[in-house]
Amino acid sequence: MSQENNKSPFLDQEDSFSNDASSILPSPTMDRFAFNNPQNNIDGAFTDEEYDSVPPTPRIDNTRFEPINTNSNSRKGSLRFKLDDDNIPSSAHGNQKSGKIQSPFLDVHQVIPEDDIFKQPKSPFATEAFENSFDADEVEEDDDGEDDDAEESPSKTKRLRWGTRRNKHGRPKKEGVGRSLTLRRILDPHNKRKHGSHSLRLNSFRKPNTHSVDFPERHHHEESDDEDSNIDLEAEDPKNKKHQQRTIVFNRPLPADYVDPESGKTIKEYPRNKIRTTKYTPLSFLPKNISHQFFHNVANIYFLFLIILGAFSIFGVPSPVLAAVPLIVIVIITAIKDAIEDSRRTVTDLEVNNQTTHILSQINFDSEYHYDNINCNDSKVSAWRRFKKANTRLMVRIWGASKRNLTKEGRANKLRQKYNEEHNITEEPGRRSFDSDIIEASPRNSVDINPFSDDLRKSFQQQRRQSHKYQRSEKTLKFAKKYWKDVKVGDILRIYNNDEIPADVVILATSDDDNCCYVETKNLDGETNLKVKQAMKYSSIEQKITKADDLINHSFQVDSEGPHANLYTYQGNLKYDNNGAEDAQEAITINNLLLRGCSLRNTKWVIGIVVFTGDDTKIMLNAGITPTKQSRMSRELNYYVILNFIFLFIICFISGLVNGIYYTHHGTSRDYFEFGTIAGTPALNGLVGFFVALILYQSLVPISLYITIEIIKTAQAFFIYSDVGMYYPRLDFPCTPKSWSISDDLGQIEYIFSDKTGTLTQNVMEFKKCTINGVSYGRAYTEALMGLRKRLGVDVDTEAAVERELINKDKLQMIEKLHKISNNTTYDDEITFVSSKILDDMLGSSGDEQKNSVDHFMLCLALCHSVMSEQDPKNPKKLLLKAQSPDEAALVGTARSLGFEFKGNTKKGVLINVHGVTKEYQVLNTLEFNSTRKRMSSIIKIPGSTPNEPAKALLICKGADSIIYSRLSKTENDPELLETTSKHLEEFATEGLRTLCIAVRELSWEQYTEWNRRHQIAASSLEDRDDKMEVVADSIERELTLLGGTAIEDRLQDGVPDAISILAEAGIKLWVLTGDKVETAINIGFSCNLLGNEMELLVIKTGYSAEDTNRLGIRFPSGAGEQQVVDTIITHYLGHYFQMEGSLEEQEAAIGDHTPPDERFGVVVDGDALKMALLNPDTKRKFLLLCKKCRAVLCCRVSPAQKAAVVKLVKDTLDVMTLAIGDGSNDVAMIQAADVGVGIAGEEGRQAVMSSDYAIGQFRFLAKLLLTHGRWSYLRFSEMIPSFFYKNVIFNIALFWYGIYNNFDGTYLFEFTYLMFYNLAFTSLPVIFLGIFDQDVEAKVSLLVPQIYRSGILRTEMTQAKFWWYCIDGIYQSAISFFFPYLLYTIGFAGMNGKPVDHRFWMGVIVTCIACISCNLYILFHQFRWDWLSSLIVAISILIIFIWTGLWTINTYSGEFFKAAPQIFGTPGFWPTVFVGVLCCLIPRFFYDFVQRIFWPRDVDIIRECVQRGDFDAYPFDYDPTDPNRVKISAYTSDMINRMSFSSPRRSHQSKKVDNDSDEARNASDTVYEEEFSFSRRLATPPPTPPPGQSISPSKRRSFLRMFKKGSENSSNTYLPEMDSINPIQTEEIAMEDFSEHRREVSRISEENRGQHMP
Amino acid sequence: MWYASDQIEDFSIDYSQCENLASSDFFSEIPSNFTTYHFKSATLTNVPKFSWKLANDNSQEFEDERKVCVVQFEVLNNMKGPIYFFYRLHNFYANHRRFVKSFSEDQLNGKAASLNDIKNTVGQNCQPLSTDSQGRKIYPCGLIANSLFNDTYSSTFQGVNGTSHDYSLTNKGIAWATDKDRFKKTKYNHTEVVPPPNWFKMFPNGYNETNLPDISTWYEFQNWMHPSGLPTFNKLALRNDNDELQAGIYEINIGLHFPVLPYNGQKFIYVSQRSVIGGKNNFLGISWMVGGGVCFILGLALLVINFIKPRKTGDVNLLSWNQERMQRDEQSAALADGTTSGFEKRNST
Repeated sequence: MSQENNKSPFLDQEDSFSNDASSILPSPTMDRFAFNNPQNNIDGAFTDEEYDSVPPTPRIDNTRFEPINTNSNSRKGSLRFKLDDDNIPSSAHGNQKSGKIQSPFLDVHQVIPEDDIFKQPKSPFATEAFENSFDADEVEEDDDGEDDDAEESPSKTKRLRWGTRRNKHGRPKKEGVGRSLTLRRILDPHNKRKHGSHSLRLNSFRKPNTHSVDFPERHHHEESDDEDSNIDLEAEDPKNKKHQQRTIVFNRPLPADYVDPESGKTIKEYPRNKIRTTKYTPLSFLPKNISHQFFHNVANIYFLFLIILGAFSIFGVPSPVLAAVPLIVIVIITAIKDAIEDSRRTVTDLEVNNQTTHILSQINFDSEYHYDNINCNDSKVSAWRRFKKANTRLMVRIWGASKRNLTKEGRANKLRQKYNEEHNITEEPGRRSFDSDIIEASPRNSVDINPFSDDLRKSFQQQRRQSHKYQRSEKTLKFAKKYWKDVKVGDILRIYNNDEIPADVVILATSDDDNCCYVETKNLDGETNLKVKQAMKYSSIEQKITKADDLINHSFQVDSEGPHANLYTYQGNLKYDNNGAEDAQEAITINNLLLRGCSLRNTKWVIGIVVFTGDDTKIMLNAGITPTKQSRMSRELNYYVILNFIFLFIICFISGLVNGIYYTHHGTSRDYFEFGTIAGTPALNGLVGFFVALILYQSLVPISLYITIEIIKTAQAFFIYSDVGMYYPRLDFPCTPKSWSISDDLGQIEYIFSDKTGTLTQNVMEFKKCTINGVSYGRAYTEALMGLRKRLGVDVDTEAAVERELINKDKLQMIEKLHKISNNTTYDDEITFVSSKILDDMLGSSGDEQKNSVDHFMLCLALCHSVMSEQDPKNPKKLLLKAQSPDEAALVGTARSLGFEFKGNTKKGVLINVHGVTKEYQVLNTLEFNSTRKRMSSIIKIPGSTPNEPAKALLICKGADSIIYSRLSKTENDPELLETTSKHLEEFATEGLRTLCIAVRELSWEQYTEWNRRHQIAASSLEDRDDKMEVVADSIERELTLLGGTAIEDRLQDGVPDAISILAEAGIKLWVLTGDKVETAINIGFSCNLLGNEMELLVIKTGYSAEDTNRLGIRFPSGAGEQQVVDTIITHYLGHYFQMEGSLEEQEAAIGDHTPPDERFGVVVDGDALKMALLNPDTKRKFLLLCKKCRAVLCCRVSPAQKAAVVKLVKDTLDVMTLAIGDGSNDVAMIQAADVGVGIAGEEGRQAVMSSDYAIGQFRFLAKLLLTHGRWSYLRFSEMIPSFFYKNVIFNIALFWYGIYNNFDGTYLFEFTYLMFYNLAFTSLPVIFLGIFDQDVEAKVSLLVPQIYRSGILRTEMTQAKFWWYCIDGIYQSAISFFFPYLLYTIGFAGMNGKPVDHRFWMGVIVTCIACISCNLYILFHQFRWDWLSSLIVAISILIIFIWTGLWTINTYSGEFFKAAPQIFGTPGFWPTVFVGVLCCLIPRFFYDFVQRIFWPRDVDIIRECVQRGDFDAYPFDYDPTDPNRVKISAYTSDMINRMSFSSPRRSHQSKKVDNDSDEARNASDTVYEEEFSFSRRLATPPPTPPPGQSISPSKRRSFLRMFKKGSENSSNTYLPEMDSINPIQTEEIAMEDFSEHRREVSRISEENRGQHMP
Repeated sequence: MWYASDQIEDFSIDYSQCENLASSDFFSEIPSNFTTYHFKSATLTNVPKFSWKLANDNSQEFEDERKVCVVQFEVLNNMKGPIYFFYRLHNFYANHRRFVKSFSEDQLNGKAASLNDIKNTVGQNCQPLSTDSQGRKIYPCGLIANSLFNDTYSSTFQGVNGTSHDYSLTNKGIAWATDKDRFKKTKYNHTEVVPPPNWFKMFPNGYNETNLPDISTWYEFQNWMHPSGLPTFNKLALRNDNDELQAGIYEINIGLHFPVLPYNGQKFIYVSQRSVIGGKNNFLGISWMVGGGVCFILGLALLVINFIKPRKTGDVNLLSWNQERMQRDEQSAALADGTTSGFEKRNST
């Protein structure tokens, strides 16, 4: 064995595939087999045939799956409560090669003869087992009895978990798309896109005018394909350097080919561990940034070209230098912006690079031993780097010096230092604070506050103590504290608890006794749970390394594969001295590798050797960036810019043509006075004329548009960020825009795709009900139930109140009873499970059987989990539960509050306190949960009741009900019990609860040991371990006996129903895409207003019962595949309910059709059906049309790739704006596929947040984000962009008109500073401020009247027509601006004194004044919000023209323009011309606007009038209808809103009733409302002066009105008793008040719960 | 404004054809299409007389420069001062891009600009007239200066044909006072520079110590160096700020030097009063009246419409979604009336 293994597995594969059963290590066939049929029996994998088919190269991954995929089984979908034969794993159909062996205990092929194990002393597991046997408990020794089992006896809980080890099968479904994109730099989400190595990155490309990422089609078919293609493409990826193997040595010479024969030093160079995520270094900034700006921005090239042209005097540019100013300014602004962005990244990089770690280094050079890391050649420092370094040093020195000498603080420090030196005071090095500072400031940890920071201090102190000790004992080696950037390949590191791992490190040893360590991989994959990594056996077991000097005696060599991006595989080999004999070796797997970016948790220290540094680390290889999205408007903008270009070229062509023709004429003044022409022939002159015109009219294409938009978007992003209305205090999380450039898209969203868990729901699990032994316990009134009852027409509000009362009462009773059992009150307030009945039963009121069942059940809950406990820092008595999933914590927590208290883990098992008696239960194995298994099991040792009696093992298995039911024993279970339990579970599911089943299986000790042996073999296999483990686990998790089921409520987030209804009113369609079960999803749908009571649910699934088909009246073609079934059903629905065929024409018609969908229908799609629906383009189209027609769409059990596919389907086919919102890593694909991705900063890590465009704390903020900010952004841009074009048209076309009078010779009418400043100063500010500040209605109004959002969906605000009208208006106005001054000059003389003021520049001043003033006023007119700021800005912009002219012409520097200001402004004709010019410019548009607003008002205009009237005054300015704690608004205003949304009959009726003076009502429409207003106020407020009903003169009434308005700010909660109809909003708000009170109470509890879940 | 403009009395005479049409012996009437006038006392019958005669001025060195156009014009009624005397050029494009920047600011500012300065200054330089063929600097260089309008006007309106009094004008104050800061006496030595080619007849022997022009006091030149933006323009030549121009017939001598006929240009003399808004210009008055009128009419129209068919303020029934709802309600009401559609039927089954 060892001989064979001496060869590197990379070098020769065939040897490893010998028939020796123990060398199963690299068999890739396992993969193939298990992949193909994961539930298959293991023995099928070991036929010779399979071996033979293995190609002799380890990289067969590339191809081997392909032939099989086509026939691989689709997942069986639906919830099954009955025992399903098909699903019993042992009889799974598949391509088994050998005969099936039914019993899992008889698969002899798998059994490895004990001899083999004995013969391999180096086999790590055998050794471990061997050693452990001596540690084993005495009791255990007794129990074990038989000798041959002794070395096998598992005396410890094996922490070999495959759930946490992820390979391509461990995480099969979720990661297809999202995985590669998981890692992104935290602070720079939208920067350079390092082209990631993942296949999908290769496959995904950006189409020119869209920001979609293309997911390969096949991802939709088979998730499994994802994996294959990943592997497939990885090989082609330039970043994949998997084949560049490397050998790292320690205390031994390097292999010959690594050494430079001359110097004896290594020739290998590895990337430094210093990382740089910045685009620029200070040195490269200028050249790189500027070239970047010019190469990536066509507009800049264009302007640069024009400037270069302008440098030639033939084009008559008056000042080429100044002509370059706008471009220079813009380039500089952009550069500054880039620099700021980049400097932030630099700071982060610096922080990262300067984090400290501990590297092995020699401190005592006297000893014979000499340590040096020879793996890395660091002597060669390139000249460039040296130059850089010198620069850096210089900069640092200059910076330091300037800081010391120039700042106050620096000087003070200097003085202090001096003083200290004089007085011999040495400052205490602030070691701890330094470290902790780094850690706290580090972006990776910024996500949550590190709860371990105290431990950190401890560990450092400890270490210091240690080092003291060793110093005394002459230590040679030491782990010296160094920076991350100093870490080199081959370095030995010691990493302490809570430290981040600085590089990819192979673990040599850990502080843990079982040589495990825990890491948190949040930065890598976004999962917050802890994962176990294992140290190498060689260095941790045989000769355990615990301190630096231990390493002196070690020498080993690591043969590693090259760096590649796959996070879940690693292959390496550790060769080590075998007591002077030949090298022994041990395989290194991903499980021994700590990846950079992870954090060490719950482990004191880890010692490891660095294999990959810097850019070779997996996190860096994976670093991908969210695709930069471009907003729709930006895309449209390009179109307009192109139109503008065309326009520009047309007028330039005209200019050139006319100019050329002019030069063919003779007998003009030119012939006599101009001494020839510029270009000679007329044709050439015309050509020159063209370019002259191009330069002249260049700003027709607005140079500053892009930068203006950037500025505005930045400001908008800032507003969004600083909106307190979207601030989530619990997580201290404001709404964070990650990409700043798509705020306008927020205003046009038509489809929202939402995840359910964590998005609509809180992901806070509360144990609500359970069923034990056929008895259902628990009392709860869930929101889903509320929705259910609402559907039945029950008055849920009263019912809820009653129910809550009852629950509270019951809870008190329960607590009382609980105290009877035990007097532990620590966890009383954590009780979410309310049932006094269960306590009665625990006390034995329903007989012993039930009592035992309940106890057993609770004990099982307390035993079977992977929760870890930790002391609550606030309450030392209390333990916090730290679980991988909140469900688990809820289960354990409930058991605990019922007296089955989980106290913590011990080496062997768990401590459980049952009603005050603490017992230790030995957990033999834990079979972890993962998403394919959907179950987890623990095997508990049950000692025999007497010493003689053999011990037994109890397998406790909890899992999804369908999984457990399919694994139940057919003989052991009482069918009746199964029936009732499944009924209960179904009930629970209907209430929107998540259900789990608990089952047990008793094993005899023999059974167990036999299984455990196989388990260990599987666990110790080096290749495909996870599949083997799964097969082994599968073999024991059978024949279960059902105990019962649990039901956990996943609470809805605050304000979700309100937010959804508001969004729906706004015309936004919400689709829920969830991985949950159909039933849960439907119930959540009901409870959050998504589904209505009258709605007919159109269910699409793959299988229909006969009953279903009869009801629907359809018949599936016989033998139809799933796809046909789905197609048939969709076609049926379409035809039956909507009279549609799903033809292409209908799809064409559907594009651009934004009518609200039919309220009566909702679609529910199952994941499998969805897969089928998306397979076929025809079906896809039909499906889309169907969904579009229905109000609600729920897609259940969909994979991330499917989510993305649905989003893309809608986005691309219907040409609508989509938004995806989610919180987990499974939503990443969807978030990136949608136009706007919103991430919720929830409990499930920040994966979604990292890849999102906007990150919010709660779902309900979405309403405000879209309806307020999005809408504003959209409106602002749709006003600002045409205005921008308009203002350039008006100015440049004026130049064109001037061309008529100078033969289009390209003379400048304007002084060149005017040209320069027109866009920069004269007109830019109003447009920018319009873009930043304008709002048509306040935030609260846009939330109260969400319907006004529809204009964004319909895209009525920014249309081509609008653009054209603005341009035409601009042309008209330019004509006015030019010809009015022209007319002033053309007849007589202009000045008072006849002196010359007819110079073109003087004329240009008038033209500019008219153009600028009318332009600025025009923008002011189109601004909705007129406040002092906008007026001020416009005033400043107008004044600046005069001021500038005055200042500039004061001196002869201005040359020709000298004294133009006093001359032209002193000309009496100037002012009237400007006035009448501006007037004429603005009249048409003003008139149009006015008429439109008066006679054809848009919705917004009406709403604005309502606002003016004061309809919304009662609402506070920050009113948010989704806020559960919002201020209650009086009945009157609610009524107002009612009237907003109800049609006339009701209103007229009211006004008749209220208004006594009918004449007035007819005359002035306002009166009606005023009357009502005062009337309702009168009822509410103390005695009004005139009694109601008397006629009051309108003016008087108005003053009352004003009075009342003031009053209304204080008064609230006024009711209108005489209201003839019940006001729904009013009642709702009362209920909400109640509800929120309750909610507060609940949230207090759940907050504490949450505290536990958060690590 | 219109009134003010209307009050201005002025007249202009196009004398470009003088050398062709005027007799050299006697005064002949100027064809009426060459003249315009506006006198308060002018009626259909009472029209002012304009006549011209071509004379010779033998003092001129060159033969082709000796023509003098003697123009007689009748002022029908007294014109109050100030009186401005302009020359007007038509179809003279002083606004071509190469023309307008062909001068040297440095030279104008009195500096002794180097050859390089006048030739290669960015933005404005004297090309193509920086040097003569021998490479000597031209002063003042550039196309603008070269094309200087050089017709001469006698500075007195001489009363003739019974008008006993003359009316004298001056060229003082025809240019902006501030121009003296820009136009300064040159620091060039007369040997360094040569006059522009078109000035040859003015300076047939080039510059000498005495005749180097002092542009700081050469107001006509200063005015000319403000090239007009439009091809038709007036430039002030003479003025009298105080005296009233009394009715009568006056004569003025115009030395014809500036060519306009080859390029279909025209040159005028233009004598005008001024008003509060400057020169005679009906445009302002008219535009204000029209603009105001339009506003008034539109306002009135809106008011009328608003009275006839007003819209309620903030009428929520007009909101699009309420309209939709009403439409739907009506539809469903219609459906409920018994016209059950196939859709409903199918639904109910």
